[in-house]
Amino acid sequence: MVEVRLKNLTVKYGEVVAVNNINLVLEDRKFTVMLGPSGCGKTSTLRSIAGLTRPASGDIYIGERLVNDLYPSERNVAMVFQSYALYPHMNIFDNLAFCLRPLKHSKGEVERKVNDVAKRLHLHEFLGRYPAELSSGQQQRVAIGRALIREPAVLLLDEPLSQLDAVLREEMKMYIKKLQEDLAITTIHVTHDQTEAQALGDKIVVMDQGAIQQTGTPQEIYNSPLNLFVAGFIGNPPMNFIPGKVYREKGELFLVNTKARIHLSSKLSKKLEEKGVVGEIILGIRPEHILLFPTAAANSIRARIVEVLPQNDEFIIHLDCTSFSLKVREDKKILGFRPQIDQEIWFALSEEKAYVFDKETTARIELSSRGD
Amino acid sequence: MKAKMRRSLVSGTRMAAVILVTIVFAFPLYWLFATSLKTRVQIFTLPPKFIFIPTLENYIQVVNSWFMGNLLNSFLVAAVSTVFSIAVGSLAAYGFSRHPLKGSDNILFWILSLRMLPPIAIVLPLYVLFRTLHLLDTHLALILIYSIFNISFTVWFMKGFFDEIPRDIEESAMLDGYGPLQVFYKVALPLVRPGLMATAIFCLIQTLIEFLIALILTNRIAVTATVGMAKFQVLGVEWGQITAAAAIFILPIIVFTVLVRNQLIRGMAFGGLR
Repeated sequence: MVEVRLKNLTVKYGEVVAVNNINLVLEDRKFTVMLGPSGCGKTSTLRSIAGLTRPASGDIYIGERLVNDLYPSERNVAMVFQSYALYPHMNIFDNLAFCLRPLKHSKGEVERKVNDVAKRLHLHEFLGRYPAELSSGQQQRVAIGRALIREPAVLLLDEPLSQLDAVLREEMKMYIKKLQEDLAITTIHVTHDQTEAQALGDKIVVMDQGAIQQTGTPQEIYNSPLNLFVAGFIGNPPMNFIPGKVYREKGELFLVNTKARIHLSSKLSKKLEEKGVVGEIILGIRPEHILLFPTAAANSIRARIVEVLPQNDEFIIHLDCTSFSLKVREDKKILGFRPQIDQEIWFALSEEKAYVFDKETTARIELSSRGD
Repeated sequence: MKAKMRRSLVSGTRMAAVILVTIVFAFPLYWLFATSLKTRVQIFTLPPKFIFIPTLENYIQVVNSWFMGNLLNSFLVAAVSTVFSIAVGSLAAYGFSRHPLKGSDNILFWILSLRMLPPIAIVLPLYVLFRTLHLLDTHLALILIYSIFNISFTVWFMKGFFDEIPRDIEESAMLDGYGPLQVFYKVALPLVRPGLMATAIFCLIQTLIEFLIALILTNRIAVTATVGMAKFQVLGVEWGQITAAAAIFILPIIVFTVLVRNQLIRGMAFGGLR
C-alpha cells in the first residue's frame, strides 16, 4: 500500500492542455475521489498514473519509485474501466485468470486465487459463464475482481458506477466503500457525480479545466468552498449566485444590481467593511439557507414562484426575482403552505450562511468567524 | 377487404419479381451445367434443348486432360496467397488501427488504390518484370501478384474490424502485463475472427477467378484453372468440355461458400457497413 505523488504533471493532446501542471499527493490507504465536469482532466490524470497516457511533462511517483518511463504492466496498478472492459471471448474464470498468467503462477495457484476473489465478490456461481450473460452489476464485480486479483499497490476506478441504474449504484457505492476499507488499498476514483464523491471519498480533489480547484474532506469542500466553481459544483440543487454591487446608502450596505436591492444585515455589513470589500461582488447562498414567507416580513424581498418540484418531504421552489432567479429548498412542514405557480412570495437570506465571492478572481472572500 | 387484397397483390408482385430476378441470375449457371451434359450436336441445335438425355463424355474428357493439374495450381496459389495476405495484412491493419501516424490516411489510400488497379493496365510491365527475374510460369509469380490485391483488401477490411474493438480491453490487458504482440495475439485477433473469416473467403474467391494475369504470366507449368479451361479447342471451341471444366471448378467453390455463408454474412454485416 503506497502513496501516489504527482509533481508538475502536464498532459497534452496535441495542442490541447488537458492537465495543467498539477501537484497532488494521493494518500496511502485512503479513498481519494477526483471530481469534476467532463473534460476537466481527471481521467487524463488517472490514465497518466496507470501509464496508459504519456504526460507531456512532470513526475509521477508510486511509493518511492519514479514511474514515468515504466510500462503500465510494470507499475503494479490496476484499473476498473467505465465500460468494465471484460474479455468477451472468455468465460469469467478465464477473465479473472488472464490477469495472473503473465505472473507465471502454477495452475493450482491460479485456481486458488480466482476462487478466492470469486467468493469474496459473490461470483463463484458465474465462473463458467461469459460476460454477455451477466447483468451490469455482475459484470462490474468481475471488473473489480480482475483489478484486485493481482493484489496491486494502487486501485484506479474510472467512473465505474456511471453505467448502473440508480438502485444498483447505491448498492455498489456501499460495496466499494466497504471493500476499500477492508483491503486498505490506496484508491483513486474518478467521477463527475458529486453525490458519489461525497459518499465515497475520504478526500475529494475538485478539478476544472486541467487545474485542481480544491482538495479537502467532503465536509470542507461543502462548507468552505474556495471559489465560485467549487461552490457551484457541490450541492444539489447548486448554490445560488447573486451578482451585484456593494452600495452604501444612509450608513447601510445594500447589494444592488439592475433591479433588486438586498439590504445587507449589519453583521454582514460589518464583516464586509472589515475586509474592505467594495464594488462588484457575487453573493452565494445555498438553497437550503433561504427562508420563505407567504407575506412580507422584516427585511424580506418579493419574488414570484416559477416552478415547484416536490422531492421526498421537501419542495424545490424556483423563484424569479426579476433580475435574478433563486432555487430554494424548503421542508414541507416548515413551509406550512402549499406553494402555487405565479404565487407572490417573500424570501430572506440566512446571512450568516452566505458566501461572498470576488467578481474578478472568483475566489471566496474569507469572512471571519464562519463557525462550521 | 380492400386493404387485404391490396396487400396480397403487393406481396404477390414482389414474389413474382423475386422469382424473375432469380431466374435471370440462375440461368447462366443452369445453362453451364446443362451444356456440360450435352453432346456436341445437342449443344448447337436450334431451338436450344432444355430437355435432353445427359451424357458424361465431357466430364470424362476433362478429368483425363491437363485440366486437373491446372485445378491444383489454382487452389494452391489461391490458398498460399490468401494465408500470406491475411497474416501480413491483419498485422498491418492492426498497426494502422492502433497507431495512426501523420501520413496514415495517405498510405491507406495508396493501399486501396492498389485494389483499384485494372490488371490489364499492369500486365505487360509485369511480364517484363518477371521475365527479368526468371519467374515466368512459376507459382511464386502468381502468389506474389495476387498478394498485392489480397493484402490491399485485407488491410482495408480488417482495419474496420480492429477499429471496432474498444481500446479498454487492450489497455486492460496491458495493465495485466501483456506486451503489444501478445495483446494482438490473445485479445485483438480472437475478437475479429468473423472478420478474418470473411476476408479469407473473399480473398480466396477473388484469387481463384482471376484470368488475365494468369494468362499472361503462365505458360505450361503454373497454368491455373481459369486459363486451362479456355484451352479446350480441338475442333473449334469445345463448349461441352469448357463447361464441364467450369462446372468442376466452381462446384467446390459453391459448396464452400454455402457451408460458410453464416460466417460470411456475419463478417460482412460487422465490417462492410463502416
